[in-house]
Amino acid sequence: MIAAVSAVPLFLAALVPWLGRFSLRLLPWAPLPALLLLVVPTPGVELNWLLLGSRLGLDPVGRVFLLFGNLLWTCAGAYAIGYLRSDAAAGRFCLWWLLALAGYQLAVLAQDPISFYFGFTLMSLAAYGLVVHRGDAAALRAGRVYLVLTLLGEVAVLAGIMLGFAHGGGEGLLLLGLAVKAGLMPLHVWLPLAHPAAPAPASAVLSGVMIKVGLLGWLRVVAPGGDAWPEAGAVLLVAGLVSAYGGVLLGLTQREPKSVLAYSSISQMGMIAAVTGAALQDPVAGAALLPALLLYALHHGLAKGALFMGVALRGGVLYWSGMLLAALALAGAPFTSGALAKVAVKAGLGAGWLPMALSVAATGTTLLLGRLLLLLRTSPAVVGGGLQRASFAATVLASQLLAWWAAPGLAGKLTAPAGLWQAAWPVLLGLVLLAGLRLRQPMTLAAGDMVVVLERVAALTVAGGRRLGERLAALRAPQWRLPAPPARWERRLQRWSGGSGAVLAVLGLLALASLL
Amino acid sequence: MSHWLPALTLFSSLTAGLVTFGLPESWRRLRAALSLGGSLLGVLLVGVMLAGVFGGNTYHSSLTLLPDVDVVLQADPLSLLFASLSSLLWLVTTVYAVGYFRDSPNLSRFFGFFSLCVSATVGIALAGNLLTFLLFYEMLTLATYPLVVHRGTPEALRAGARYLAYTLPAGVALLVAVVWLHTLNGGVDFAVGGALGPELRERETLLRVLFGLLVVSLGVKAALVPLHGWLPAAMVAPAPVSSLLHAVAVVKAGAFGIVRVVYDVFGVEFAAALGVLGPLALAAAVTILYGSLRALYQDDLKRRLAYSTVSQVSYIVLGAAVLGPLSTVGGVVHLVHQGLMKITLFFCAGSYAETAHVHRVSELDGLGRRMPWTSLAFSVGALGMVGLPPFAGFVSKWYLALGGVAGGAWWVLVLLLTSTLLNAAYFLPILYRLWFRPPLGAAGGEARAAMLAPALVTAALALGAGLLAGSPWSPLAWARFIAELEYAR
Repeated sequence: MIAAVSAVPLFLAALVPWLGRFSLRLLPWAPLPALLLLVVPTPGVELNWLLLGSRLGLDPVGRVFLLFGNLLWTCAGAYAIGYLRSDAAAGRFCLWWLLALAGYQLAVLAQDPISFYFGFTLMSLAAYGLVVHRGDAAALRAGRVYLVLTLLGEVAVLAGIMLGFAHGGGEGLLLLGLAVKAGLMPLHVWLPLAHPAAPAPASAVLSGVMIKVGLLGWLRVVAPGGDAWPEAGAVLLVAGLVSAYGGVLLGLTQREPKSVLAYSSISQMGMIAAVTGAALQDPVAGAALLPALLLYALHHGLAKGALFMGVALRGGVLYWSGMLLAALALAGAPFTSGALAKVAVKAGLGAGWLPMALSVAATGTTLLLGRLLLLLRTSPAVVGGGLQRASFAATVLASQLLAWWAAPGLAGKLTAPAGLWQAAWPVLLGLVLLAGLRLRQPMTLAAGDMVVVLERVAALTVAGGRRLGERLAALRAPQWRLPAPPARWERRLQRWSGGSGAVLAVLGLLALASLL
Repeated sequence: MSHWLPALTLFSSLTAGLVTFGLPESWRRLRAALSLGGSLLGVLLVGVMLAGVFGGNTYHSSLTLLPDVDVVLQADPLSLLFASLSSLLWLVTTVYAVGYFRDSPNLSRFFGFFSLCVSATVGIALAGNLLTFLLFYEMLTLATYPLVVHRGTPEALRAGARYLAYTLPAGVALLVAVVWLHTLNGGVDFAVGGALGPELRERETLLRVLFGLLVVSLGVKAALVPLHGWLPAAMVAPAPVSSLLHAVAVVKAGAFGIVRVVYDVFGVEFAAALGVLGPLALAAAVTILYGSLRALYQDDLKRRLAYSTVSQVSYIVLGAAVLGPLSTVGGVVHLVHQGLMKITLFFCAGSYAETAHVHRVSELDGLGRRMPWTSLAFSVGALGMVGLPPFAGFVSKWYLALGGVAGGAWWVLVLLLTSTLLNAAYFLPILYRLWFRPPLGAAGGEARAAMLAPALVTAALALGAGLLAGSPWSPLAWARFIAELEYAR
């Protein structure tokens, strides 16, 4: 049963070559076994024959990831049916989608590092196919950057796992490798290229669930509430805050709505990383922060997924109120899922400067998402059918209802006047700033910011390597040949009639010698 | 029966080869039947011995040539690992070759030497002492030459000359080393934990020299840098030959020889005590990096694969050169894994060349649509080479790296991960062209069944060896069995 969660999408992926574009219809159904698993309690399994011995099971952390992840996979899958209706290469899209889904499920259910790594790799590499699906120059460039960073992250993760097996240790490398997936600055450069390049449903799962696997990995490596690890906590905290603020600032320089959303994901994952870092520094707070982190991941996953779906749609009041709700939720406005997640996080953090820093970051989020909605008003519309609208609406609703359902104990805190004010002021401040800036864009930066420099360095290195290779190839081994003995020797030998006699004499002498 | 099985295994291919030489060129069916029959019989016999050795039996054939000089064939776990790889891959390569050369000339000559080449490899695998090993090792050198120059083009002849220019002097050096050791030790029977007598073990300097001589002479076939120059040139050979050359026969014979020398002549612990493993590991490391770096800049597909072989075969040497059971498992299991993955890649390269007339990486654009099954097999081989789960290469890499770290050699981990990235850098662009680029030329079909099926079979094995590595029938399980024997004493 547990194995089927990952095996069913794999099996469907294998059918894609025969089903062709009909496989689109399968996408919303592929996560069904996972949703069933959430309802029907099933014991874990040990598959000793698989790879180097695999253990699959569903623990509380995995349960949350399985829940919100598969809801989004389902909704985005239904959305894809409409979005890719007239796409000739829809079959290929389904193949990568299903493979990435299978990888995600495996990563969530894995109870040992090797299975996690397998799922993580499968998901990451299959997502390459989603990123480059459009096939134009921008998508291919995004794919290239994505692949290079993903492979570097993979190698770091693998190195960490190997060290852990051989010696114990290696957690640092694991955190680093997973940080690439989580889009933590300065390892984020792939994200603002890849998420906008992918088709909208793929962007939704990329930004909604796949980058969350970075968080899942972190939680597997260092269980909050376990041993403290102040150094790693400090690094995560600093890098997280840099990402939270940097994502907002860089996002404000973007003109493309999906790029704005991508930078918002960097910013949000930054906040998650900062909270994870805080949890690592203090084990007592860590135990309380774990459910808060999970709630945050659930809320951001679904709300961000909904926004990415919504970017490709346009519509009336219902559409705009959906977008507004998702945006306000991300900013953490009162009564939204975001406010719930933030209350939970702040309760876990207790006193200190970090809650304030997160509130200020929420102001940034408000600014960024306000900018998104304004950009959407002026950017060209993409045609969207009823199925897409329904999936979008379902995701927005799910993001709100699920958060309230998952954290009923927090409702009291949220509706108290202090709680209301705490959630409201960053958003209000953001709105004021937005109006004050008069919506002018300060400047425009290329999506992926530093990647431009890195690409230049990489191109120079490759060219240098090629030149070096050519020079090495030009260094041929000298063509030496044994010098031929002068021809006259041979002529003289041929004229010499006593040759055979001499040979016989030598052989005779040898025979005599051996007898003696 | 147990006296005859190893010899019979050898004769199954030897006889097939010798009879094939006598067949008229036009008797295509009989020739194919003979080759296939011989290889099937070989697989069967090796299978019987595998089951027997697992159950604790021993198989030993010997023939006294001269006083003190015995030709010994025996089945131990390590020899069977290599013998089963070579007999199995011979079978699939025979099928591939029958499909590949439908109407070429000189096929009796080709299949004759092909079978001789495999019997030499089986001889190398089953050799029970160093002299027997030398005998078959030299036979392999000679039997392979006609295969390399089969096409008879000036380029092929040049490559053949180069091959001999490397392997013949190496053969002489090996002869000197083997005879020297044989004389000093009074025969060198391969034995787990080392074959050297107690008095000889005290002559450390001499042994270091002999070890160096053995490794350098075997290193030519194993393509250790800088002795690898013949291998990329030899890729002018027809695809079935390249497949066998890179996966089981020549390159592997060299690597297997080094493994034998380390484990069953010197003994890995004694070799470590002598201090000869460090330089060997260094040579392997240089080869791994250098081969990958060269592969990166090759546009010719087979040449890129050839440099990849240079790099990958040294994983096996690396496994032998680092002390510890995990490294042994990694090195020994890569003997099989590299064979499965590389033969798949060469099968596919041959299919691209024959079916679509594509020889260069830059011409592979969109071939995945035209030849999906061949390209699927190629992708399995390539991803396996990179070492991604769930393919076989991942398992090898895992054990090698763990062995390195456990033995205190941290650089092994760094080396393997660097090699992973380099492998990705030269294999992933190929996959990108196959699957993501629009097709270049005219439309066409998939490779013919006789060429496709072997590639799919070996690709499935390369997948299975990784995905099911934990099962008791995997190459990994057998490699663990070998390592347990080596370190159990």
